[in-house]
Amino acid sequence: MIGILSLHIILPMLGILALIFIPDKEKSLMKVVAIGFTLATFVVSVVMLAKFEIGPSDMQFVEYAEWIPQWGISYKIGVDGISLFLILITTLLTPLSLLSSWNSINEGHKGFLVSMLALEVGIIGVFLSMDLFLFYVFWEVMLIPMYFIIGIWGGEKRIYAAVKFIIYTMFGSLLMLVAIFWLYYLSSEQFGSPTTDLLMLYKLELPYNTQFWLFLAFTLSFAIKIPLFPFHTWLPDAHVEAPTAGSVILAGVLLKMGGYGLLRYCLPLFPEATVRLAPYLISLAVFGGIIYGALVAMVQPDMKKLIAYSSVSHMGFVVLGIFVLNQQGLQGAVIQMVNHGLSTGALFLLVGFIYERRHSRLISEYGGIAKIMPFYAATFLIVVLSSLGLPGLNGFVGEFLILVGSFKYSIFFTTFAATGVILAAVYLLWMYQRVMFGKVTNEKNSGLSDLSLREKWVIVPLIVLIVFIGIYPKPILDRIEPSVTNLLNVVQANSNGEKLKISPDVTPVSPERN
Amino acid sequence: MLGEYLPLFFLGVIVFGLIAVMLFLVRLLQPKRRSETDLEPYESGTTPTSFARTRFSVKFFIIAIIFIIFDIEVVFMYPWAVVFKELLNIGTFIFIEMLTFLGILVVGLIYVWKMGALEWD
Amino acid sequence: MIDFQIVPADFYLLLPEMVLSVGAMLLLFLELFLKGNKTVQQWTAFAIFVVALSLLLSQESSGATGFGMMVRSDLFGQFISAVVLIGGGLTVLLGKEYLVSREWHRGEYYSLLLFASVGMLFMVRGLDLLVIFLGLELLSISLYILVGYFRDRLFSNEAALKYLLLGAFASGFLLYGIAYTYGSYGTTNLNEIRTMGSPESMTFHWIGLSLILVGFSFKVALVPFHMWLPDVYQGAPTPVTGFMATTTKAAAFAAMLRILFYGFPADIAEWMPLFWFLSAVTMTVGNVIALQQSNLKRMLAYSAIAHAGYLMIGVTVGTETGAAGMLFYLLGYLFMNIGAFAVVQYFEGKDETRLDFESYAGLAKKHPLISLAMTLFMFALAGFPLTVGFTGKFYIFTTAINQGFVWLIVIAVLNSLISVYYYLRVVIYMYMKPLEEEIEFSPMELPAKVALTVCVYAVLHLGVLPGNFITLAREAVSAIF
Repeated sequence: MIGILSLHIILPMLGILALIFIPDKEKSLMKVVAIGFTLATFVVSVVMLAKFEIGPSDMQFVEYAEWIPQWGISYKIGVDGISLFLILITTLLTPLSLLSSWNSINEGHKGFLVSMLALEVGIIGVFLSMDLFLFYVFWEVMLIPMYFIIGIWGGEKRIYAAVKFIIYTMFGSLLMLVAIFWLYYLSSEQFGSPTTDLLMLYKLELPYNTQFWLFLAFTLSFAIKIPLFPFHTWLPDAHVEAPTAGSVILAGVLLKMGGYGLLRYCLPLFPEATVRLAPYLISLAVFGGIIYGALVAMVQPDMKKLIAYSSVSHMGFVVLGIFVLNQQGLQGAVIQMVNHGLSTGALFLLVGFIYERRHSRLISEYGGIAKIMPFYAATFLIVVLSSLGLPGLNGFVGEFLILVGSFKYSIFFTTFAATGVILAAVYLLWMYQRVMFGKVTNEKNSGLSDLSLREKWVIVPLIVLIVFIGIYPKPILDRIEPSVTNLLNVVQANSNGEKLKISPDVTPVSPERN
Repeated sequence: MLGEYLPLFFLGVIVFGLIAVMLFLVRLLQPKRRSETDLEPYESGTTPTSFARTRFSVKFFIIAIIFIIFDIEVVFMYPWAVVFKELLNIGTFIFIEMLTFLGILVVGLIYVWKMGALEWD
Repeated sequence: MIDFQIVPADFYLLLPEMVLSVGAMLLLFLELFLKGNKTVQQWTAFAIFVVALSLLLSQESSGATGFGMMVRSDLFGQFISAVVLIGGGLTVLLGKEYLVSREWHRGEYYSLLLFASVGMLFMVRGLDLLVIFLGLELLSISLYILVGYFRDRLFSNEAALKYLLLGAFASGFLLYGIAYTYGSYGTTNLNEIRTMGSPESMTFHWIGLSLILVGFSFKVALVPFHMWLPDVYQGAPTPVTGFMATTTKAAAFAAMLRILFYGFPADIAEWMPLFWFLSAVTMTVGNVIALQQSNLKRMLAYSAIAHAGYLMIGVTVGTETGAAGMLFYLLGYLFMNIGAFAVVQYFEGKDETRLDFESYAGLAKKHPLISLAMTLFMFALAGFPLTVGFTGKFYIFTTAINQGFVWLIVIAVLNSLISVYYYLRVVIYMYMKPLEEEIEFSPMELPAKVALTVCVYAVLHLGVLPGNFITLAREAVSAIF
C-alpha cells in the first residue's frame, strides 16, 4: 500500500511519465498535465497537513520498505514538524512557478516541465528521507534537473552559472559523502551491522574529535546550499541566470534544504560539536550572512541579484536561529524558512512578470511603474513589506522569534543581527521606490499592461498566505513546536556536559503574547 | 638455496671477464693505422656495390612470418613424440590433443591460403 | 611423473572456452567462403557469445579444478567471465554499423573478438601463472590486431605499434616475474603457492611478485605505466576501444586479484602503502589530464585511467568486501563505458572528424534519445546517485573507510568532483549550446539500438536495485579468499 508520503514522490514521477508520452506539439496539454500533477501533489500534502497530529514529537506517517538490505539501506520516509511546512511550500510553489512560466519558455517545453517535476521529486525526497543514503540520493538527484533548468533555459551566462552551481554543490556534498561513509562505518562498528537509518544513527556514540570532523563535512555541504558567506558566490549567478520558475524554486525551496539539513542532521547527530562550534557559526551567520548579504544587496543594480543577496541575508537569520539552540530560535528558524520561501518566491515571481514584459531586470530601466501597473505595485509592496519583516506580515514572525532566541544567547550578536532588519528595509524599500514611484522616465515602460488573470492566480495565493501567517501563526508554530523541543532535548542530552545556554524547557513564545 | 647457483655466477664472471680481457688485448695490440677500407662494411672482401638499406617487397615478410609460425609449431611435436610413451595412461587424451593442435594449424593454413598470402603475384 | 587423470569433467569445465575458440575459427571460415552480406557473421558471433555465456552460467561453481589444477571453476571466475562475455556480445552488436560505414566490415573482427575473449576467460579462470600468462598473450595479440584494424589509417597503425611495443614489454615483465616466482617456490601453480605459504627465497619472491605487478599495472594502466593508453584508445576503432576499456580491465584486474589474494594472501598488507600510492596517483593524474582533453575519445581514455585508480582502492583495502566492490564496479563500468563509446562511435562520423566537444553542440535537439543516453552515461561515470557509478563507488569507498583509509577516500571524492566537470562538458555541449552545423546521421541500426538499451537499462538497474548483484559479488570473491 502506498502511503501518503510516497504519493508526494510518486505523483510527480507519474507526471513525468505522462509527459513523456505526450507528443511534442501538444504544448498546452503538456502544461496542463504538469500543473495538474503538481496540483494533485499539493492537494495530497494539504491532506497530510490536515491529518498531521499536533503533540507527538516523532516522525509521522512513517513508511518503510527494504531497499538494499545487503547494505542496511532502506526506503524509510516520514515527516515531522520541521519538514511538514517545507514540504507544503514545495508543493505549493511548484505549480505556481509552472503557471508563471506558461508563456516564458520558448523551446523544449517537455524537457522543462520534466525537469521541474523531477526537481520537485528530489526536493520532497530530501525533506522526507529518514535514511541517510536515501537522503543523499535525493540530494544529488535534485542537482541534475536544476542544472538543466539553469543551463538550458537560463539567461546569457547560463552555462557558467550552471557549472558553478553544480561544482560548488558537489564539492560540499562529496565531502559530506565521505562523512556519510564514516558514519556508516561507525554504525557497523557499534551496532554490528551497517545501517543508514537515521533514527539508529542518532544513537551513535561519537567522541568529540570524530564529531568535529563529521560536523564540519556536513555543515560545509549545508552552508554551501544555504548559502553562508564564503560559499555564497554561486547563488547570485544561479539566481540571475535561471528562468523565473527556476529562481522561485531555487530561492523558495532549495536554499531551505541547507537549513533543514542542519536541523535534521548536524544538530542531532553531532550534538557536542554543535554546541561547541555554535559561536563560530553564529558569528558567520551574523556578519557573513545577515550583514554582508544586506550590504551587498543594497548596491545591486539588478533586481534579481538584489533579491539573491537578500536571500543570503535572510538565510543568515535562519542559521542564527538554529545555532542559538533554544526554543524560540529554532522555531523561528523553521518558520523563517517557510516565510522566506513565500516572500522570496513571490518576489522572484513578480520580477519575472515584469521581466517577461520588458526583458530587463535593471532597476534603472524602470521608474513610475506604480502608475502603469497598480495591481502589480500593490502586490509587490505587500511582498516587499513581508520580506523586510513588517509586523502583521509573515516575515516578522520568524525574524522576531529568531531575535528573541538570539537575545537570550548573546546581546552582542543580536544587536548586529537586528541591523540586518533595518538594512533589509533600506535596500528593499529603496528598490521599490526606484522601480515603482516617480515619473515614468523610460518610454518603453509606458505601455505595460497590468497583471493578467493567470498572473493574479499565481501571486494571490502567496499574498493570502503571507497575510495569514503574519496575523495568525499559531497553527504553524503549534505543529513545529513539539519536534523542535524534542530536537533540543536530544541535543541537550547528548552534548556531553556542554551546557546549552538556555534550557529548552522554557515555554515557547508566540508573538501575539508579547 | 641460492648457493646452488654459485657455479652459474662464477661462469658469468668468467665469461664477462674473458670478453673484457680480449677486447682490452685487441686495443692494446692492434696497429694504430686507420684507412678508408677499415670503415667499410665487410662484404667478403669485395667492394660494396649499393646502399645497405634497400626496401624489400612485403611478400618476403609475409612468407618469412608464415614460415616461422609453421616451422616453430612443428618443433612442438618433438617433445610430444618423445614423452608420448611415458604418458600412455592418458594417451588417448594427448593424442587427440595433438590432433586438435594440428587441426588449428590446418585452419590457419587454409585461411592463409585462401587469403592469398601464399601466392607470389 | 604425471599424476593427474583427464576426465570428461575437465572438458565440461572448459566448454565455454572451447565454444568460443571453435566459433572463432568457424568465423574465419565463414569469412573465406561466404561473400557478400556479412550480417551472418555478426549474428553467428553473437550467437556464440550467447551460447558461451549460457554454458558458463549453467556450470557448477563449486571451485572444482581441472587439467591438473590448471583452471578452476569458481564463482569469481564465472562473474568476471560473464562480464567479459557480455562485453563481447555488446561489442559484436555495436561493431557492424561502424565497420560498414568505413567499408571494413569483415569476419575477422568478430573472430578476433572471440579469440580475445577466450584469452580473457583463461586469464580469469586460470589457476596457474602460466595459464594466466597464456591467456594474457592470446588476449594481447588479438587486441594488437584489433587496434590496428584499419591498416590503411596512420592513427590506427601508430596505436597498434605502440600497443604492441608496450604490451610486449609488459608481457616480458610478467613472464620474468613468473620465472622468479617459480625460482622461489618451485611451482607456478597458485594453489600450491598458497598452500606452501612461505617461499624458499624471500628475495626472489619479492622480485617476482613486483615484476608480476608491474606487468599487470601496464595492462590496467596504472600511473606511471599508463602512457600507452590514450594513444591506443584514440587510434583504435571505437567499438574496440569500448571493448578494451571494459573487458580487458575487468580481466586484468581479476587476474591480479586472483594472483594477489589467492596466491599470495600474506603479502597484501605489506604492499598496502604501494597500492595506496598507486591508487591515489592514478586517479589524480587520470582526472587532471582528462580535464584538458578536447577529444572525446582521449577524454574517455584518461577517465579510464582514473577509474583504474578508483578500482585500485579495492586492492589497497585488501579485504573480501574490497574485492567484492571491485567486481561490482567492474560490472557497472562495463555498461557505462561501452554505452558511452557506443554514443561516441555513432556521432563521430565516417571520417572521425566529429570527436571533439564542439561537434556535440546542440545534438540534443536532433537526437534527444541518444543524447539522453549519453547524459546518463556521463552522470554514471561521474558517480551520480541512481546510476551504477554511484552504487559502485559507494561499495568501494565504504569498505575503504571501514578499513580506515579516510584520506584516500577524500582524495578519491575530490577526484570525482574534478571528473564531474569534464563529464558534464559533454552534457553542456549537447544541451546548452546551439546546433552548429546540420549533419544527417543515418538512423541507428537495430543491433546497436539493442546494445545501447541494454547499457542504459543495466546502468539504471544496477544503480537503483543493486541488491542481488552485491550478494553475487560477495559470494564470488569468497572463492578466492
